[in-house]
Amino acid sequence: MKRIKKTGILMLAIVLLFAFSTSVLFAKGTQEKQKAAGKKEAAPAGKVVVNYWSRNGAPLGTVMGSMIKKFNTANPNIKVKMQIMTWGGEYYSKIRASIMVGKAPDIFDVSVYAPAMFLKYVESYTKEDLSQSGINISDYAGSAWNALKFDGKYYGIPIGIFPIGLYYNKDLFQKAGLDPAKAPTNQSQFIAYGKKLTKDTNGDGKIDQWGTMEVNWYNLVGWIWESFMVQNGGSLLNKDNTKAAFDSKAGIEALNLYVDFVRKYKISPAPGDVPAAFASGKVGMIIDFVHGLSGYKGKVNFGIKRMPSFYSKRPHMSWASMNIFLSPKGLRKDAGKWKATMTFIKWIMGTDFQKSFALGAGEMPSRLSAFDALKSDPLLGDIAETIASGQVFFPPSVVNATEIFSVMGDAMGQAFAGKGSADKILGQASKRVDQILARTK
Amino acid sequence: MGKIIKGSGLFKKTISPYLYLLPFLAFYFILQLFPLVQNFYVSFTEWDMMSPEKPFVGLFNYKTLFFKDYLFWGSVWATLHYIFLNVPLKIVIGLGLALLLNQNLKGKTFHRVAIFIPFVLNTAVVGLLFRWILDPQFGMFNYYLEKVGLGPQKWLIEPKWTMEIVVLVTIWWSIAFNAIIYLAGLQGIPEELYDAGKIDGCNAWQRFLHITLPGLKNTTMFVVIMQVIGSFQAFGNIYMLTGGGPLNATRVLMLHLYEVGFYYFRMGQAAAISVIIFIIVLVLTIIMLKFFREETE
Repeated sequence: MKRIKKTGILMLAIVLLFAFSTSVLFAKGTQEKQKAAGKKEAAPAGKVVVNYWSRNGAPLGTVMGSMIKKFNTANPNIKVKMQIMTWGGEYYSKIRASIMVGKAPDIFDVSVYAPAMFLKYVESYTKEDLSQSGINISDYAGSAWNALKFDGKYYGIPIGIFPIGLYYNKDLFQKAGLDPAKAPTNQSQFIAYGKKLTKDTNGDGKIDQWGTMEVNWYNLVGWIWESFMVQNGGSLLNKDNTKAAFDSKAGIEALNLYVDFVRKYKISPAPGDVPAAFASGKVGMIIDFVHGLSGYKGKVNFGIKRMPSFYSKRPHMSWASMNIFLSPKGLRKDAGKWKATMTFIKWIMGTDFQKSFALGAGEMPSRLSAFDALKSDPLLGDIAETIASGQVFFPPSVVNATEIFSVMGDAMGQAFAGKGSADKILGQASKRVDQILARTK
Repeated sequence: MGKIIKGSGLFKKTISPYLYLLPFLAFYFILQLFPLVQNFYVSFTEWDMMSPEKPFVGLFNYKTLFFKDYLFWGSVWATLHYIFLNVPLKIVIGLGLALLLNQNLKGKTFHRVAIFIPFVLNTAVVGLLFRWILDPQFGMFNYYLEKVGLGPQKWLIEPKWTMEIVVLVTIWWSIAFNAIIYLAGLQGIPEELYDAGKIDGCNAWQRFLHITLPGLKNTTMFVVIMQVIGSFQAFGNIYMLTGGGPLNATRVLMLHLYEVGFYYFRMGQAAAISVIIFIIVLVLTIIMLKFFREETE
């Protein structure tokens, strides 16, 4: 019995020793792998391989994929290998794991809020760096680069912008006696148009065509509300991004207005599957990302215009995200790889690519010269002007932006479900955001 | 033979059995015990999954969960809600099905297979399947409800009843496990006891109450413990069906753990959640074992 006990204790000790030593070895190995991050797999003779991971599915990813083929043909010494992955937390987990073990791709695309999460682990660029590679910051929308600026350096390359805009169904406009060439431009017009478009078309006593519709993806609801609030002079966080600032008069008014589309004005049903409803021609106007347009092409006769001015303090301002390229820290140590990567980035940031990508996939360019070319486009022209004139804003660059979006999404869900007044809901959300920000200082 | 063992000394007597166990132990240490110990350690650190350093932060992650994470307590409540619905229903329905399958019905094998088929489906398949069936706009369920004048209902959109729907889907998917275990338990009860009961004038309900239920005590203990542990670990079915929504109504602890760890990359805090789940499950299992043992004695 004693011997069994002794052996048991011995075995347990071995297990614990093994577990902790493996832990130490694992951590050490990780450090070494990180140090060796710059050393990549050997490329075929005379050809530099640039590995690119993308979270963009159709249409962005597919259009990008076909354009990369053209780049590879035009640059016989470089082969860009694109790999499309599922978007969401899983994508960022994969990126993190790959950085940890020193197997990160040479380029990976992320959303506008992601660079803050990766600051310590990705390459930064100075103006000089960029101009040496043929990229002059003054050729691009200034707000796009500013959103990526930390301590005087740029963490990422803003390859495209996707703001929120107003989609409207031209056929439904015509049937309601509205001018299909003119979308509403302010709050009162939006509500008036919404009322005209809200109908019981088959006479069964139930509304089956709505003026507008709120999406049941509450993060997007939060971003749309944020647009209203910014137009009303408010902001999500304070100037140095350390405290919530949205439980202000501007924020509360904006939320009340938004909920009133459903409750008071009755121009919107309860939040639901907006893309499906708009594509089936049952909704007159929706607010959604502009790169969602490919989902409606050929299904409904629609137009896209800038966000109406629901408030006049900062007219037409709309929330926007970006498609950003990041490269893992250490990449520039490999001169050949760095040169090839920058050649690819320069091509992506060129007017030709930026314009073709916008027309093919709906993502707006960051390059100003591409805007000029798009301004005459009947579908994207107004949105191009919005960006060029600085009527878009990006989310604050904070480490836990996704968590803040989640809190705001919950708040929007509560507001639309009638779980309290706007000031109470935003007050509670504000405390939660303060806790998140305090934790990550 | 005895001579060989005697002559081989202490090594063969004490160490050699463990060498036979080594292949299993190696997997057990590397894939179970090491992650468990490592997880305890990570729960006292702050780690973003990329940094090679894991600074020790003591009880910070636990304090954050208890006092600063508004979703944590909501997740505890959602987990309890899920368990209190899921465990009793699955036991009662599982036992009911087992009793039916134990009868000499026509097509017994067919019925057994039919009940078992959903259990072989992957959780992702079940989640997606029911998400489509219950879709408020184009789901099959609402289509038929509308036909009889009861629709459309906002399934999986309104927080009310969403957990109940999740539990019903889970029961449809996994009830076979309990049914099969109970069926095995029923077949282990001696037929003579029922015969004696009949001779003593017991009716069917009395036989069930005084012979079947006591005879299934050990089976029930196993089923309850497995169901409680399984319910604490519920993830795939809920993640695929609701993603924890609407308004966090189905955000159970495992979903919260996943989001904290793999969306917000606070690995220390995620590890702390798993330690808390581990402790709750351990304590509950010890209590249940004690309760059932006392009952049996």
